[in-house]
Order: sequence, then structure tokens, then C-alpha cells
Amino acid sequence: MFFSDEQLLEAVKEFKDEALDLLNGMEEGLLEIREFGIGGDRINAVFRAAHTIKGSGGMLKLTHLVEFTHIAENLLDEIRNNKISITDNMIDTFFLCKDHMQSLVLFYAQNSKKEPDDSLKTMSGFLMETLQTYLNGSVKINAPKKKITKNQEGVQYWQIDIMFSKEIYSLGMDPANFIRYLSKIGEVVKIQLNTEYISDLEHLNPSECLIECTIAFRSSKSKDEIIEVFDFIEEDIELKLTTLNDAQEEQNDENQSEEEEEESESNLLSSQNIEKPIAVNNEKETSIVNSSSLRVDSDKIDILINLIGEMVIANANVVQRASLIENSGLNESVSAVSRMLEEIRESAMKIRMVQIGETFSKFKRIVHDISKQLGKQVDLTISGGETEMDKTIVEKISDPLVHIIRNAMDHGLETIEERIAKGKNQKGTLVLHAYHDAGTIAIEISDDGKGLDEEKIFKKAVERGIISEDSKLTQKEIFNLIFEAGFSTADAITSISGRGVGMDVVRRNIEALRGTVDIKSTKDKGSTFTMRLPLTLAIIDGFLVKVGATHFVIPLDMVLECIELSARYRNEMHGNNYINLRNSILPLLNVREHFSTGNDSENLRENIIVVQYAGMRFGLIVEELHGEFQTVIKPLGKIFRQIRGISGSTILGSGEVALILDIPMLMNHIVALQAHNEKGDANEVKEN
Amino acid sequence: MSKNILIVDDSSMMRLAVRTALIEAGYTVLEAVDGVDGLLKLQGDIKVDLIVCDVNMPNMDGITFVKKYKEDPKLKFIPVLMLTTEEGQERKEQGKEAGVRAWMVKPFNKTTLLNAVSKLLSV
Repeated sequence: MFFSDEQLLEAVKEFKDEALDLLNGMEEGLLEIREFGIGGDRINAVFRAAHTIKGSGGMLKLTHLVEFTHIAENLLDEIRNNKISITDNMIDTFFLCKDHMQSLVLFYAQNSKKEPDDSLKTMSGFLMETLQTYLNGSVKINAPKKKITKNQEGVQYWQIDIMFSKEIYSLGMDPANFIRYLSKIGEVVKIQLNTEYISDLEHLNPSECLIECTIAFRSSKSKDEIIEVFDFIEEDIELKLTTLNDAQEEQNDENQSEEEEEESESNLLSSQNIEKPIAVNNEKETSIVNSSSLRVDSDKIDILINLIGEMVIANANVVQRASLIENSGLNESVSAVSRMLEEIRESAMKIRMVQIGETFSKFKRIVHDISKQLGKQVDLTISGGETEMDKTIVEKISDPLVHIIRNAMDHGLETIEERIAKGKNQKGTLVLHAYHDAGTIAIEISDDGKGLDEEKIFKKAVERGIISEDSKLTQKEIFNLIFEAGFSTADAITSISGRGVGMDVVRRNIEALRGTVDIKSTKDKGSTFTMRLPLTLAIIDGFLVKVGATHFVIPLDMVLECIELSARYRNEMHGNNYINLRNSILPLLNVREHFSTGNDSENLRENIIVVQYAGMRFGLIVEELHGEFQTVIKPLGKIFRQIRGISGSTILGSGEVALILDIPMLMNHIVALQAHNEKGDANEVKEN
Repeated sequence: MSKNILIVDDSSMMRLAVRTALIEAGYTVLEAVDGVDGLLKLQGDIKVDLIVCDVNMPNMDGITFVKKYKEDPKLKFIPVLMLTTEEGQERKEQGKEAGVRAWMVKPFNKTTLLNAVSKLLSV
């Protein structure tokens, strides 16, 4: 063995990381080939990926993977050398091979020394057979026909006497199938039925099999091979095979040429199937940017970021103490350190940032697969792939995104017939769009399908006991019902969606990341799901305020402006919870009342902080403003998780704790409150 | 009309393998993760023409599953192809009692599978 046991562990891990990367590259390459043809470096890139995996697999003695990859590599090589033209079917097979190689790699990563289990091997076998047919197909087309069929001399005539048992139908067996199957390995010349056991039709029991027959059969197969045809029912039949030795030489010859013809014909057929080559298109090459990169264990980065977080807290303490000592030199140094620390923090966070495009391109494949399964045509448009976000978040939103996409394709988009009937383009469109929006990342998934059916959702929710029949809900509230646990509108569970995670899990996953998801939908126009997620999970720029004795931090990206709650506004409020700010209504939330922070600082001037989230604005009434603050987010302890409106805590320079306000949650609260008030008003009017 | 084949197997890998082969050969495929699920799928709207079934499964094993559906006069004529391993041979006797005739030993190749399927499916 090349490696010692200890080394092996590390080598396998490295191999896994490398192979998974290569496989991703392979998939992307295949998608590009499908779109633009094999030109440029595309086919080479795919080939190299397979080649490298084979090579490093060989080092680790992963025999099975090597054997498998070898065949795939062979076919890729033939394609690369223009000996075989690539087809859609081939690409599909390669996709499956890629998936399978991934399973194998993951299997080896877990059990480095074992051989893959039977199911993996079975899959390998299947794929290898398919690859082999492509390989063979080409050899036969290109190479002149050399070999004349193998054992022609063995062609013989057989007489086969069969009597089926009466119960054979109830076993689910159809005698006709076996006779038909015979013609696959030879020629059924004649079938003679023996009818003597068949009673009169009036007394015939249709579930009993009374077939007894004699078959004249011509084949080059051995006796055992012919008997094997009946292996499934060998106990339920009486079988007698006799050779007819008077078969004539001439007929042999005739047979030989016939078979040959047949074979070449079938070759032609399969080659026609294969030959629908994708145009080699060199023009539309996508530029490949090779930024040099370094693979680092993400744990190491997490440690670094944690340390920087602690340092930011410690530094806040230093700044505070320095400000008490009136020494200009010290203050200058401290502010220089602070500035640099901020830069360090920013670059450290950037390490964690990855472009979402990588995740998006995974969806190309998923969309491709699902559209095939569903028989729907889908055009996938991706934009904003260069938007960067924290790697942890990217990893965690992948599943919810897949689920939303599946739902959109399964339930949202209509079938081709339906679309034609509605006068829409028979190809549905699915748009994935990512962009930065007020300190959050927004990801939109839009389809131009049939939209959400309000009535159906409402009825279903009543059926499922989620709401009562007389509930009055806004459109938005109805849409949000699909996120409730135990809700599924699909009448029949399909294999695409309606299985596995439900939309409630999607929402829970997103909320766990301090994100939100909302829905816009118009009947027959389509639906848009918008996920909003924080840029990062660890450190944010915050805005520090004080209410009573408690400090609060508001994520700075969401802060629009601060205004003084002047006497004018106070009058305007009249105990209402909104003001008129430059001719638009601004709902307000009094932080002191909302969190019951106590009333020990009477007479202080109050301020309004206008925050914006998901295109809506509202004002928070607070007392002291302390300005910008680097906020290292500390999760709340278990007991406090349930508190709504607080997303975390942080430690101030003085060692005090500040609470981070959960703006999205507060926004929901305000919206709910408004809706409630409106309803209340309506009821009052009615009562009057 | 393409034939509908129900795959009953708890291993998603195995289902994937069988499904891939069958779909490629032009069959329509339904899937169930165990015997209980299999019975549910048989009660559904789609008429199943052939069952490909694993022996060892959680909740309800393959043999019990076959026994159960063979009790239903509407379903009992559906042929079944049992997937087994070298070691699982002794369960063949039980299977035979339940009405299983067609067995296939894992790992098998695609041709074997498709040949077996074509023997079991009526045109």
C-alpha cells in the first residue's frame, strides 16, 4: 500500500474534497457542452476531471471506482478525438455517471478500505453497460466489419414440449411471455396447441391455465440456455426439449446470413439513435476565469473569525478606557488600531463569502432533471450569480431553494398542453435572481405558471384544521398558509414534490438563519418566492441605542435615518402609533413599551429610528443614540430563544450586554397589529 | 401505453439503479420505500403491471408484502420479481409459498434485469 493507515485517512479526505470539486466541474462542463457543444476546452475539461479522479483513485487502490471511471474516460476520450459524436442521451448518461462517481467517492470517504456494496456495484454495472454500448456502437460504425458471427455451426432445430400448471396465472405469470421471449434467442418456427385437455367453454375457469403446446424452435443456443428462458417457472411447467438432427446445412447458411443482416440492421438503428450530434459551437465560449485559490478547512476560518470577534469586544473596552484618559497620543493610537481591526474583520468576513453562482449552477442540473421527469419544458434564467454571501448561509439555503424550485416546477408550471391552451409559450420560465437589498441578500424564485390558488389553499387549510372556516384572511396571510406544518395542496403525492421536506421546513430553515420568505402570486401569471437572508452570521455593523437602562443594537444596514421625536410629532400621534413623515405614513413601535424596559428615565428626549426591511419602513422610538457599533453576534441562550423581536446579543466595551433587535420579526408584529386594528375598526363601524 | 413497474426497496441507491434501467427501457416507474408503502401505491390510481421488490426492508418485508397483496383478488395477478442476495437464499422457500417465482440475485446487470422484466410483462 502506498500510504500508512494514518496517512490514508488524510489522503482519503483530500481525495474526497478534490474529487467532489472535480465532479462539480464535470457537471458544469457537461451542462455547457449541452448548451454550446464540445468546442473550446469543454470536453477536455470533463475528460481531465474523469482522468484525475481515476488517477488519484488508483493511488488509493479504489479498484472499483478506477474500473468504472476508466470506461467513462474511454468514451470521453473517443468523443474528444472526434471518433464518436456526443448526443443528448450520452450527456444524460454522463450526468448519471457523475452522480454515481460522487456516491462512490462518498462511500470510500466513509469506508476507506471496503469494497462498495452490492447496490453501488449494480449501478456501476448498469452504467458501464450503457457506456460500453456507446463505445461499441462507434467501433462497429467506423471499423470495417471483420468478425463474422461466432458459433454459427451450432444452429439447431429443437422441439419444445411445454405443459403449464393450472395455477400459473395466479402467480402473475403469462405463458405467452415466455414463448415470446424464446424468439429473442432464436426463431419460433411453429407453435402447435394441444387442445385435448380443454373442456367445453361453458365450464371453463378463466383463472386456470390449460395451455399445452409444442414449439418448433431454431436457435444456436445450448440446451441449458433454452431451458433458462423458463427459469422463473421451472417448477410450474413440464418441459421437454428434443433436438431435430435433420437440420440441413443449407438452412444453416441461410440462417447465418439472415442473422448477420439482422444484426447490422439493429446496429444501424442504434447508431441512428445515437447520432443526433450536438453542433460543435466554438463561438459562444464562456470565459474561464482562473483565480488562484487555496483550500482551507472552514473550521480554521471559524476560529479566526471567533478570535476577531473577541478582539473587537476587547478593543471596544480599550476605546472606552482610553477616552477617559485625556491623552491625545493614546487616543490616536487607539483609533488607528480600531481602524485596522475593522479592516481585518472585513477581510476575514470576505474569506467566508462565496458567490452564490456556484449554488445556482447546481440548480441547472436539478431543473434539467425535473423537467425531464415531469415532461415539462423549462427555461431557467439565472442572474446575480456574482452576489456574495456567507458560506454557511449558502450551504443552508441550498435545500430550501431546491424545495421551492421543485414546487414551482411541479405545482407552479402547467403542463405543455395546459400552457398551449392558455396561450402561453409552451416553455415555462423559471427565474433565479439574487441581489443585495438593505443589508440582506434577496433571492427570488419566479415562475410564470398558474400562480397560487387562494381558494384552494384556504379550503385545504380549513380541511387540515389549520384555520377555522370563518377566518378572514388577507391574500398574503392565505399564501403564508402553505408554510404551515401539515399543509400540502398536491392532491396526489408525486415523486418530485410532496415528499420529504414540506414548506414548513423550508420556512423554519430560513428563519433559523434570521431570514424570511414571502410570496407574491397572480393567478395565471405566476408566483415569486423571495427569500431574504442576512449577509453574514458572525459580525455585523450595528447602531447602538439605549432605552431605559437597556442597550439595543439595530443592524446598521437596515437603518435609514434618525429623527427627533419632536413635540410636533408627539401631537400628531395622539396616542396613535404612526406619524406623517414627509407625506407618508410611518408606523411606530415604542421599544420601551414593547420590551417593558421600565420607566426610570423620565423626561428624556426621544428619537425615532427609521428602519427599512423588505421594502417596508417603520420607526422605532428609542431614547439615547450611541451611533455605530461593531457588533459581534452572540446567540441567545436556550431559555431566551423563544423571545420574539430579539435575534441575539452582544457584549459592549464596558462589559454590558446589548440586545440585537430582530427587525423582520418586529416588522411582522407591526403588520399583524395594523391588520388587527383595521379589522377592529371595521367591526366597530358595523356595531355602530 | 407504457408499462407501469413498481419498485419496492428501502435503499434509494437500489431504487435509483433499477429506476434508471427501467426508464431507459421505456417503462414508467413508481417507487415505494417499504412493504407498507408498496401496498399503498398498489391501492393508488395507477395500475401496476409488475412489481420489483426487495426482500429485506423495514416496516414490512418483501415476503409479507407479497403475501398481503396476493390476498387482494384485484391485485393477485400482478407478477413480482424478487431481488435477493446470495445469503438470502433460504427465504426463497417462504417466498415460494407466498407465490413468488421470479428471483434475481444482487448484484445483477442491466441485461439480466431487463430480460427478467420482459419475461414477466405481458404485452
